[in-house]
Amino acid sequence: MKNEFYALLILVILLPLTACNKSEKASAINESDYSGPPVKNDWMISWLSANPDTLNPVLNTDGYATQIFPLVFDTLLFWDAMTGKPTGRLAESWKISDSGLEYDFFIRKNAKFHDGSPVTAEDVKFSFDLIKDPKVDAAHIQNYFQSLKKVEVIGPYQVRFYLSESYFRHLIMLGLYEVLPKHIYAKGDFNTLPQNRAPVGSGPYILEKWDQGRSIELKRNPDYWGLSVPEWKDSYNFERIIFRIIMEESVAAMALKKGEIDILSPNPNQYVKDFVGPEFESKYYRLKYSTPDGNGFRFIGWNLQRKMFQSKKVRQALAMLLPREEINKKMYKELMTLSVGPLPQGSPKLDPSIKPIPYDQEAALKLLKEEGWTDSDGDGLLDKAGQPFKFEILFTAQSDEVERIALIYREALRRAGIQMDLKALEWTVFLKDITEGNFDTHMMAWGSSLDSDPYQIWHSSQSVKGGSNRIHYKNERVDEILTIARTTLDETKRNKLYQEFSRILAEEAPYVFVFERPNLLVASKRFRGVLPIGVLGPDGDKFFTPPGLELYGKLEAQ
Amino acid sequence: MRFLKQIPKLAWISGSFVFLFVLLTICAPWIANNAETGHFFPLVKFGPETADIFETEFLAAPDQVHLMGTDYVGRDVFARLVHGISNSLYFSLAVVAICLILGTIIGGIMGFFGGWIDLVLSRVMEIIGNFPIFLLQLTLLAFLSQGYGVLLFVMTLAGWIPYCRFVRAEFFKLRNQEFVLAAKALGASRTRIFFRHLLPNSLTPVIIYVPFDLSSTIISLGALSFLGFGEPINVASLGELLKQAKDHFLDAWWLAVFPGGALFLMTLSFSLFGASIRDLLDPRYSD
Repeated sequence: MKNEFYALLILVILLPLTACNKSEKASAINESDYSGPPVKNDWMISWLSANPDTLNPVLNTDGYATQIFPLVFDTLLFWDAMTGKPTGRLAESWKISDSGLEYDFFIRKNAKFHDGSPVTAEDVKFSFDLIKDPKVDAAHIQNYFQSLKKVEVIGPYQVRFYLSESYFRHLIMLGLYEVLPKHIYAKGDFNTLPQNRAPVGSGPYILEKWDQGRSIELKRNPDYWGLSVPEWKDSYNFERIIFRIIMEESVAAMALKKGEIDILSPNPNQYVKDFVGPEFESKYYRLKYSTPDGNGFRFIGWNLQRKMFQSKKVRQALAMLLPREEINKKMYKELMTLSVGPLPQGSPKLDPSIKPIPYDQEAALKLLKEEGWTDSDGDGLLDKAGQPFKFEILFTAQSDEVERIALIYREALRRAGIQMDLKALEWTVFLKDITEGNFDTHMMAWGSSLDSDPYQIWHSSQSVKGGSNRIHYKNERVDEILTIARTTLDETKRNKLYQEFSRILAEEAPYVFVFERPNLLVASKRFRGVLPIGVLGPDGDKFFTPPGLELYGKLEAQ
Repeated sequence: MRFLKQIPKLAWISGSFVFLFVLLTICAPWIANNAETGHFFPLVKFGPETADIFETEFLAAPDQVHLMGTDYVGRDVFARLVHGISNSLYFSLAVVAICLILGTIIGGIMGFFGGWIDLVLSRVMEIIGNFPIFLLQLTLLAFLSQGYGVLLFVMTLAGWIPYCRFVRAEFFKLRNQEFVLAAKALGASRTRIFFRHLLPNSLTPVIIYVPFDLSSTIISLGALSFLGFGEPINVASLGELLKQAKDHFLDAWWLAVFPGGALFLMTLSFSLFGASIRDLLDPRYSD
């Protein structure tokens, strides 16, 4: 799992270039109703929900620019959206030593930065060395690269990474890290370089204009080295990719409907409310797809340092009191999947026998009674040893979805004789409170990443300040599983371990796992190549406009 | 009776609206409540805070059961509207009352003593008065915990200043007039002069300002709730309904129309009522 802050934001703005595998049958688009080669001068207009603070991938902490980095920069590897397998980008090939502690990457000799200079092993070493450089503000990613001991240049086009332990996510971490040109980024103070606003990489697009708070415009790199690679010949078909920055979701939805935005990843609320109707579907792809790692999940996490939440039965009862089916029906029109754990249903890491917990007030009250919670003084509130069942839930004020779920949960709890007070906070205040353990319970969402590792959220060593185990969950078997799984490179064995882990979590109910966040995408039907959807989602690099349907290239020609 | 005839029509209309809103405010618990008592009262059997999560649809359009539809978690909009009006009027009255008392006392002290006390307090007043107060309120509310106490503090932060200015100016004007000098010469104590002679004679502008202040306080309370910084979450308020309307303006018009209309009517009638009182009391404004 990525840094939670990062992850939450990715959730909101998930890009077409990340992840998926089954498409909704509803939108049957005839892929063959065009002929001729893709038009090369159309534009694609996308949406950013906020102005990123920097376009330097090493320094960026807000996550808003994650859609832009893969277009401007290249990484050593990429995960092919169609197959879901690692594929070489800057690296022509790679080799992992038997011990799993040494990774060698062989860089393509024709790879060039935007200024024409070649990409070499020196640039790769420079980019990775930045993480450990005390002068660089990269604390937010240092955690993930703690086991990276040394980067060594073996030859001009060969680089070797030395790691202190074997870990199944190492290839992902090393492979998906942006390579920066040393001769440009090594000059001056890295944190304040002008290139942080005008990035120089080796990717298929070049930053043309950054109109602060309004838009970021990318132009195709005409000399992109990758076009000589046969598999990528049909990629990067848009002359410009423009990201419009619109803070308000409903305004972005309107802009899409007016045709001012071509593509965006809506939140579930918008998807069922704003992007519906035959007219809409005649003009736009409306896709919901699943990916092996999902798109994260929403949860309610109990502070296990509070006495009332330390009982497993109480937590199970509280989980039974959330009417998720009702919420799904009335708020989401059945779009959501009830979550059973930190991973999406169908994931090989999840025990398929685990079923979602249904709303059941009677069973919940029975469990609570067994634990001694009854309404002994007749005031309508459950109590135990003179203490009423009363607690407070924290959440962030920014989304109306969270507020609605909290209000509904509050009402359902009230009917069972439990008082839950709501407290909506600004993000910074919220984060401070939950990292300091200053909460009874909180509602939040975790994003997901490729082959995510639950270690950071569930291992007891992570319940320190700054760690992500904020509920102070501790289970010896879970600790053991998570530690072994990290170094288990065999996927089947690892999945077995995670299945056991998921069974323990389902039994112990440290979180109420609310909903899985579906991967959603809305895109103009002018584009082709959106379908079929690959294992990791639609392949944004391969989208194109067939002749006659282009919107923007023509305008410019006039 | 001749006096009554002199009152313009506008004052009658705005006055009756003000009366209506006050009545609504006081009677809110009898108008909409989910307590199962009485045959006739409450008129509407829905409480403002209880969501009918299982019984009703969310964002259902107005019908015979839910006169103004339901909100995004199935609460009755009419009940929330009535209690929202009630809450905002009670709260605004509290804010205005505190501002009035605070402003009058401080302004009185400044005007009565003058000198360095006046000088120091005037500077304090200028500093607070020149702050972008709405932004300050938002910042404070974002970092302090939600609740009526904090909200009251934040909203009275600068609200006393106009009252203070009025009272101070009146005191300055009055304190050298013959009746005050006469009282002094007769050996009246300072307290007596302050409370019996100066204060009652300086309250006219303060009283005139109250309805205007009330209407602007209702608006700013609405604005704060709209931004999610107002009343504690779940408490019925007009701003909160409008906040919901912002996200659902295409699919739930009733969330925007009713609370928006209520807020408009409320502030308009208070302002017009204030204007009418001013015209009646102040000879300079009458034509």
